[in-house]
Amino acid sequence: MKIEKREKEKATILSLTGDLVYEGIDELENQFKISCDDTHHVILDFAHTRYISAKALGIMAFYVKHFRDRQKGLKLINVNENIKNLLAITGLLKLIEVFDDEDAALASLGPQVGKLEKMLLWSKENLT
Amino acid sequence: MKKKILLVDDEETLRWALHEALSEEGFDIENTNDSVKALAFARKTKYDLVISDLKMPIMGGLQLISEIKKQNPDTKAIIITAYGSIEAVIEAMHLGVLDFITKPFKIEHIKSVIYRVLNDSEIPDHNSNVSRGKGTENKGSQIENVDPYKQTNACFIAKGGTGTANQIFYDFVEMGKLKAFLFGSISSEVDEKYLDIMIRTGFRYMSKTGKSPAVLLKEINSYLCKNIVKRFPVTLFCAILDEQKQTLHYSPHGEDITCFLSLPNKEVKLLESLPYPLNMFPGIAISESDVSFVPKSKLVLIRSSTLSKSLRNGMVTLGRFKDAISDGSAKSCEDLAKDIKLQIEGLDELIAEEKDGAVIVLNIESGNEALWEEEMTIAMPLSNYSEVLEQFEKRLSPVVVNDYRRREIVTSVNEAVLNAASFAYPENKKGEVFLKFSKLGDELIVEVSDRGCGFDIQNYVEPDVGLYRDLTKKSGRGIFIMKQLMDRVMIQSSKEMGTMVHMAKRVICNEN
Repeated sequence: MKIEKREKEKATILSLTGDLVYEGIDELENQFKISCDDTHHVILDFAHTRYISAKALGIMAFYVKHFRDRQKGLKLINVNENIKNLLAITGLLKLIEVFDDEDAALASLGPQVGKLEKMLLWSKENLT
Repeated sequence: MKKKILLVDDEETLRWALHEALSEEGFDIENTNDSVKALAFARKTKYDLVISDLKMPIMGGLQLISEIKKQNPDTKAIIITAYGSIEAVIEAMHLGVLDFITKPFKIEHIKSVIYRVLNDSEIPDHNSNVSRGKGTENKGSQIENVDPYKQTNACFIAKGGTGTANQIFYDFVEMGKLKAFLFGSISSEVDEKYLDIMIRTGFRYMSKTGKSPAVLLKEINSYLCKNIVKRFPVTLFCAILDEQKQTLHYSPHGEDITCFLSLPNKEVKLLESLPYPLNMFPGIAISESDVSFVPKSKLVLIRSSTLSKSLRNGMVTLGRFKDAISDGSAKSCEDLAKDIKLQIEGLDELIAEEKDGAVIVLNIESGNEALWEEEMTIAMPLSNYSEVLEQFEKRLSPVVVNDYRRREIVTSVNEAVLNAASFAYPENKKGEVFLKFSKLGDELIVEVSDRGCGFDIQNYVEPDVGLYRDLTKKSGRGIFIMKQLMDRVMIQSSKEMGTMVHMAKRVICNEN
């Protein structure tokens, strides 16, 4: 199990390669812990994951609440039917948003506001 | 009017001995050593009963009975053979054979079977609470049924007073100084009229081999699983009484029968019954216990699942129960469930739940279907677990072609293995987890055994998935997931045998 981490816009994307059932769960938890320190949302990419275990679901359940308290979201992308079913039967689908792909997940984070736009917005509000 | 019996056996001595003995009983007997001739006789005369050997040249006993039944469906049939096998018993039961007697047998035994078969208008009445016992006693032309348990003065059954009654059947075999008892209970809503005969025949056949109660039940369970297509719980209590050693060896499985030993000093012992029913999984572990059985003790079995549940849940105390049965009379026991019904609040709700949970629709299939089995052992502590998962996939892919269904099964197996790794083999303890995949009919069955210490299934609490906090707890989720993804899950756990997880899932036929 490998976890590749990258940043895009307002999100940290964790791409998993392999099944999240035994090996790799501790590493995922560690990545979640690290992510708590910043304001980025977390997107988990399951494109190369067929199975996840109950333990992994438990960790996701714990951190989704933890992230929400910090105004962050945990979102899943490229989830196969088997994993979607597990999320449904454990009630996690009510807590975690699932998207078809990365673009859809990023779009859900709202419009991207850059530095220039921020300055224009500030001057509009304060200088007029 | 004399009952007409056709006797077909190529063993001359036995045929004539039986002919003589049955003629003396007042039956009208025709005998032949040739099954083709027997068929010709049956075309001319309508017999009440055909007794046939199983193996005969040209036409075997089963084929003969099948042909005779086409002519006269009401003709009853008994098979006698030296080559009894479970498969033959099942095939015979399909044909409507009412009993299966293995050679050598005593003339008195076959006489009692004949009287019972001719006396029964049908195979045991499933609307009645208790099927007839096996023993019969002949007094001239008068036929009188005698309860074998009253004869032995060791056991009796108390009928439940709830009216939701599962059907009860029982059997008794005497083997020298040993007495073997079998008591069974299946839901009265299960429409399977031959099942009790199959079980009793299997019991008699196997008990003659001198096997222990646990082995008997294990074999009965194994052939039920392989030959009954639909799954429904079967409760069986098997006991062997050794009067010389004053010991009762017993093996109780299922929840519908509560077993007590009533001692002559008015003491009552509850014989602990294991809640795991039979006919659910072929490989469940069957255990056995011993209890001292002094003369004049009585084995009391109460057929009432509501009562069993109530006793286990502490709704009825053993003291109250003891008072009711300490006089050892059958009447007291028969009235017991009724009395308790009056005393238990909410009993009717329990009964209603039972009704809703009943399983219906049954068929017996012959055991011709090839059984697919794959076994694996996984070394503990786990390493390269992704390769182990690949192995699960590889083993299952020939029989579970549908990816989604196979992944559900693999996910469940994975949880069972990970539970074993967490509970039985923590802290890098070495050992192995044993896995067995098998396909029975249209079901895929998985058995996972940790061969380590037992998981504490008694105190297991299912997580509340409506609350995320429950999901974050470290235990409970795995079993919950197994139960959601598989059609049936049963977990057996004890310190002696470790933990065994049994799971089954139906694999839709057109997938394969």
